[in-house]
Amino acid sequence: MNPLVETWLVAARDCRKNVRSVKGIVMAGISLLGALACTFKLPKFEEAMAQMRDLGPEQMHAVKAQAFGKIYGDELTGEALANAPIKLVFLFFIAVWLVPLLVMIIGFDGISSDLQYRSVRYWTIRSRRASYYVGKFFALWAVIGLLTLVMQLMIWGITIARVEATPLETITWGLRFWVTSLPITGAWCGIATLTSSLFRTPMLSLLATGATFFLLFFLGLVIGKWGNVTWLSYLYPNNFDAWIMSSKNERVFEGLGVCFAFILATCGIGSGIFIQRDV
Amino acid sequence: MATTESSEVAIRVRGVTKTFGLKNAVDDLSLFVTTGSVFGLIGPNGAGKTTTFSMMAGYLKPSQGSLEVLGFAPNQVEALRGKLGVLPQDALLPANDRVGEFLVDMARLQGISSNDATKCARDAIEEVDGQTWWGVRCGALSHGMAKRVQLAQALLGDPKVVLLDEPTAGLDPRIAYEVRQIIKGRKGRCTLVVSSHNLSELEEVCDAAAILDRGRLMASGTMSELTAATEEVRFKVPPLGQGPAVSLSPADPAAAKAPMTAIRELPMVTIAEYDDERGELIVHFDRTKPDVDAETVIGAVLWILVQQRIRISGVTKGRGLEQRVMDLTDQP
Repeated sequence: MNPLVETWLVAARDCRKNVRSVKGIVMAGISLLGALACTFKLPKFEEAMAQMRDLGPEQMHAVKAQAFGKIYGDELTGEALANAPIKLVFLFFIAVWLVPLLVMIIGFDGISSDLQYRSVRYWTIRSRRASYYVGKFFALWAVIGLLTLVMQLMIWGITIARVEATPLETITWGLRFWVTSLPITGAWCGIATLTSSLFRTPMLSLLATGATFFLLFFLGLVIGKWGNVTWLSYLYPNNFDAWIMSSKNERVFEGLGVCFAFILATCGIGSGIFIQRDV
Repeated sequence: MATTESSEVAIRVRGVTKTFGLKNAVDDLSLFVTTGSVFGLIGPNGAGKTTTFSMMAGYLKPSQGSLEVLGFAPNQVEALRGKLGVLPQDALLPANDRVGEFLVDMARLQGISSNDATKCARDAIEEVDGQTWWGVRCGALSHGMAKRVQLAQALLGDPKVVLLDEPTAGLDPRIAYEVRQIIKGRKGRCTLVVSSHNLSELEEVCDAAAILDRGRLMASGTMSELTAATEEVRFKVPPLGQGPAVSLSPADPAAAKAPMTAIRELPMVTIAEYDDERGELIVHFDRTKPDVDAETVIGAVLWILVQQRIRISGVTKGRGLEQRVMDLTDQP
């Protein structure tokens, strides 16, 4: 059997399991509630800001462009994002920040619980271990991607219903934001799957995943980005949104490249270890 | 079955050692299982049965030595796909999966097409008499039902080699009996390796076995070889002592002899002794002589005992697997 078919079968079954599990349903509910809360609060916040600063629409646009330009380190990107419906930009920020939490909570027991209860033994006599591992990774990536897409769809619907942007604008920007979040999500999923596969006890896996994510946050964002230690900033996948959203192609490719390098490295190391270990 | 490598070998274990930390769970183990036989892995707790079994299934890697299943290393999944079925001892079924979809998923991974996978899964669950559980979540199954679903997944698609680790552990006697019938039903259709503590069960279903203790192979061979069924017979009788004389030939009263003497003088008997502890008369015989087998010896000895009107509670060929295992694994 083709390893891709094996991977597909493992991933499809795991997606079904995640979507049906109580944990998956609760996480979906919390994510959607979060998205809704942002939606309802944001217009008032925007209005308040505009009134407070007594700004007109053009001045507001300029302020947004300046703010986004500063966030992404690129004026052209800031200018482009200022045209996007603000709710979608806000949701994108939230989604990117929320992704590690979602990945950690949904992915921590992906492999570790199968190891703990030895259910993995039903799979390892039927599929290559690398296919099992990669299937688990893709399933986690797909579930988180689906979850963020549902969040996006909800916001798109509200944005269109309130006539805050045209349907075309909403969907175009929404899709762009969602697609941008996917490689970043993939990088986090790679790290979580690797961590999960190293432990037989899901609780240890959860703690280790949380600790790893925090370490990457500290090294990559606090020291790397905020402390201007450039090479360390490559360690934190949430830094890559600015690169992928950049108006400069080389920056986009760099961001995508680092995300996929994360995915390849974690899947390579993880499946390598998983092939060698006793189950 | 496992003493000579003359016939085709389904599983071969060569000098395998498995170490966990400083402890050798399996120590330089070599054995082979003949194609089409039912082979038992026997031993007390900690003997290395499950470790050996897990290495045969590819779950564990040997620290030294090598294993082959149908000529391939157990971790060569592609080569063994659909040919190897395994019932692991402590592997829980995925609680959220329904029985049917779990079996269909397993069948698909064995390379069975999506069209045939459902039929194959239904056949397997029917074989373990669990048709009504198709839509039940695995987490809602009782222990006995889960065990039979696990057995169904091991038998999916008629694999050539089936490994069963403690297939009847924790089952009530009726279900255990049914599982034994399923195993017997597979005899001849595939090679079966059964690891179990239940010696009478193994004696009933196995053609050959290996007895392990503390990771070492203590004995292996066919059941007859292991139980010495072709070398000795045992009679459950009260102590014979010298007893009143008995004549082997009613026509010649002068030839009357004490029962033990009479038995010892039978031409095929090499040793006859009474085991006070077990209350058994043990008769060893020379099976190399023409027309001598256990049944002949039983007939001749019974004749003497009946002549003496000695109460006979039972007759067994060989010493029984349980006794053999106790003898071999009782060393300090």
